[in-house]
Amino acid sequence: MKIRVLVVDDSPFIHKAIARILPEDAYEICGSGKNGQEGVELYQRLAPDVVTMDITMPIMDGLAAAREILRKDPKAKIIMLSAMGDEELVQEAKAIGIKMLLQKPFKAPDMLTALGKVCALDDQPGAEDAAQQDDSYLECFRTALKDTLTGMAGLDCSLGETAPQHGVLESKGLAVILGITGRMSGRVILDTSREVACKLCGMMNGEEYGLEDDFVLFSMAEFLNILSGNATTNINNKQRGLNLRLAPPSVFVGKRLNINSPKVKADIIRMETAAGDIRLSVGFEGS
Amino acid sequence: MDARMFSPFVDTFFQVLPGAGIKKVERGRLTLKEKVSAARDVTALIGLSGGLRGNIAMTMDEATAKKIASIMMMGRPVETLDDMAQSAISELANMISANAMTIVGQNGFAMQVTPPTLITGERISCIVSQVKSLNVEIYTEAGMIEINIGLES
Repeated sequence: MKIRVLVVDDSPFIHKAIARILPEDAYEICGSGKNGQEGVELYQRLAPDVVTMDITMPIMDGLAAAREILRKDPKAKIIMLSAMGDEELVQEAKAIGIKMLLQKPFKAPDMLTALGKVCALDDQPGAEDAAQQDDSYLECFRTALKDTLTGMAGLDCSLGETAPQHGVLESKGLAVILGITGRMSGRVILDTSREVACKLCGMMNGEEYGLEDDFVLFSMAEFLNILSGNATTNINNKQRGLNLRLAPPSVFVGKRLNINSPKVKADIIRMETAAGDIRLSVGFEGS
Repeated sequence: MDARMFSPFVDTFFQVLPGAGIKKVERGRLTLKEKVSAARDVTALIGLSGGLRGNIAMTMDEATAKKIASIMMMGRPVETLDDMAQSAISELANMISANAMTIVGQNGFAMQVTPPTLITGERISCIVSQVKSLNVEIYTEAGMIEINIGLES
């Protein structure tokens, strides 16, 4: 059965963006409201499974509408959308009983993660982690990166920060690129130096390898392949209808290697390991 | 691997390149290789998955890339391969993948494509998927574009 979604937002752009993001086989937009008042009325009439609610709207804002809806139906599942994500707003949303807050501009996987997470919540009281997205696709890649490094190379490693990638990725010398298709398309890039790759490869295979050894490249390709397979399986299991699939990996080595995906919005996950630093750039076509 | 699987991809280039305003598109040498490699200055890489898995890598020298970017931007001079020029080449790659997806779909394969990734640098060597691949040289007014199509059967 499809999940029925009520979209309340004064921007037609957002209505269109959400309609584009939701896989038709899993979701149905059952109603659209332009302001909080319409949102409250439509909620009562349509009894949707989940609501996406803008905060700043004319006539009645999203927080007031959410309060009204939750008073009549404490089990209502509401995702608040806002361009602002400051602490006060998060606190206020939490206090009302909002289970999820998504900052605009949102990426399609984040929206699908939020929907999946909110729909999976069954009558749980409270709104802990309202603004957290621990199940986000980035978290799936972070976990997969760490687990695969530990599993394949037996390495001690610690996750560094994850931050948006601005512009071109300047490679340290070796980059593995792997395309992702499905409801969302994008790519994941594993970047490191050739020296670190050699060390990693040595730890994975228990032998020493030279910088020119092709086997190092094949090993890094397989490493990214396994890591991405684990991450996308996890994402697919959490989010209905996303259907992510992987293209085969490609490995590039060279000097002043720059990697540019003009259509993709990406984040970079940093990882410090005993063999050296690794970066994982995960990006999808922007919503 | 059935060599005929490659033909829709090759056809795509002969439809899209002239359509994008690149003249004198002629086919050069055609080679079947054990693995794909794409080692010129500029490479646009597109991943394929779904009914057909593989990669298409379009690789060329910097001078060719600049001329192509210029043609894509209505003849505007291109001195360096800046963001704008890279976007133009990426757009060409996008047109190629969209066209390939349509043609392959007509042949009964539900293939999906990734957005293009552009790789630039010096002394690049690479391995693009460890699969049987077809290497096609395409000569154009802008210079030679080498196409590598790697498909998993």
